[in-house]
Amino acid sequence: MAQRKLGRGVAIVGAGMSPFGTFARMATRDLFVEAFLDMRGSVDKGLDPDDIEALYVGNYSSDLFEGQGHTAPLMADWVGLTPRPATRIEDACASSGVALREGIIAVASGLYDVVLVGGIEKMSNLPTGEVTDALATAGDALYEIPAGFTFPGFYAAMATAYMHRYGAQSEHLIQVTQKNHENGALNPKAQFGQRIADIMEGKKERAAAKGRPVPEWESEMAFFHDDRANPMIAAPLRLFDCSPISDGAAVLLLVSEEIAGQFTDEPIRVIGSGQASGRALHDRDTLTSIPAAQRAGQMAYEMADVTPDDIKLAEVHDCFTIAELIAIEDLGFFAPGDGYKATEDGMTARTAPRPVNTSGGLKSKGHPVGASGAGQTVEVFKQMRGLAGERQVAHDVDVALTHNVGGTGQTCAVHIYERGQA
Amino acid sequence: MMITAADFYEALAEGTLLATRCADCDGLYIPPRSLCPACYGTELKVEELSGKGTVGAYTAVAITTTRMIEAGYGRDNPNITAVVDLAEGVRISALIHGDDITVGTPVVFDSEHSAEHVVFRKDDS
Repeated sequence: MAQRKLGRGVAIVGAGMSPFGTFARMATRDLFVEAFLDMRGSVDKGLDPDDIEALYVGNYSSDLFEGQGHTAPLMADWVGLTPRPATRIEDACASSGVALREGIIAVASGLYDVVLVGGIEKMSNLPTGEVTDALATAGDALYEIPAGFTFPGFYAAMATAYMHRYGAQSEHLIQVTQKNHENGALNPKAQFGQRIADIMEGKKERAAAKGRPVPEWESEMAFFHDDRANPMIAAPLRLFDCSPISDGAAVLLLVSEEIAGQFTDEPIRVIGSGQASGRALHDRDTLTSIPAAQRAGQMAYEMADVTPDDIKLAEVHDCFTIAELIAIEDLGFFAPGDGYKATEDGMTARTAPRPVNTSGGLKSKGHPVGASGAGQTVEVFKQMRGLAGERQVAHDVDVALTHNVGGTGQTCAVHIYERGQA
Repeated sequence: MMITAADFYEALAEGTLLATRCADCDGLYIPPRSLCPACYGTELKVEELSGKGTVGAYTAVAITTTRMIEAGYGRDNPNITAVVDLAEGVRISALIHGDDITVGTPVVFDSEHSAEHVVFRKDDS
């Protein structure tokens, strides 16, 4: 069946986010307010919040993380939107990528002209053990979790299959971390806005200040192989293969293309949207790619009528190092098994023709799971409009893509954007 | 008849790996299903699997779930968990007893230690 098009054009005219990190004194609503204000400041010709007609907010599990259910009307209230309809979307870590899609569909349907899309997560209230349990519930609680899978464990298993099949080594995986930390160091909103060399230096300084033996590493790879500095989480994945536990929110303003000119002369048009579901990891034909991501990508390319070669920048779901390698293959940027070689060759670096995760990705920017999808779109919005500051890429980003995965790939949402003129 | 996870774990405790096979399209499912997702058939018959397979993917989980910690696993004793490629051409998630495995290692269903968890061990036969 041919991919259908949107009923009418939809554009993003505002995008903002809170800093990502761990913020003991901030609840979800506070992060959402911060992201909302940042978004409001990004609307070139100003936004009257009274014009917003509905809210779609992605959130994985405020229930487990914060003891708070029914979050959408709360978020609406805290930014002054009551009594407008407010709906929470839950698809694990793809929650706000899917919320974006629902917002797009709502505007394209003609029911609304102005819709707010958000993503929220506040994970740092819980100790690591309880976060591990909460994230694991994105897998199959009847048949996967009893076998001992954790969220890092699922991706670690995919990593062993990938490495066995294609000959990649753990050093290849960690090159994703090195690149994304280089980028995140240029992102003032990033949780770990530091290059790996800076993190190593910081550890030395702290050890010296405490009068402890100062660690010496011959190289970054020696640091990554150090069990103390970079402990195993789920072999072969170590701490620096994993995105962190994060708090954060991101907010996007969607309008029908017909009225985009009231908000900006440089709207970001959504030209492709794809979403697919997938089975549990053990019920898939492949362990080295994510079928839902391939399918969502195909849908988005077809709707947008572009190919992977047309994409000038992508934010992909690097919840773990292996996830970025699989993502850039699933999206057709590189052939299956070539993702790690391309990464090693610098083909995903910020200076490459099609950089991946200029924001620092989930690894360095942070991964407040329900906010990550909308957060990716914030980066695209900035890069396409030349507003990404120090990390602004040198080439013109007229077409860009976001790829947001839920769980181990039971959900994926892919969006393609084109810079338009109102 | 509806086959549920309760049936699967009851059979597991009795030493059986329970699957179902669709009478219409021959599709084989483990975990067992009552509705065939391939052809929508509803006549699925219980089938016992051989319990033989190979490791398709695996991990050693150091930072593990509360449930695994209560079972004695953790940082100093990571649980080895795998996706097992079964001889019948289907896959299952399983806890592995013993740690001498890699992708492709032959493994066999360990009925003696399977009850709450599906357990496999290296097949030395």
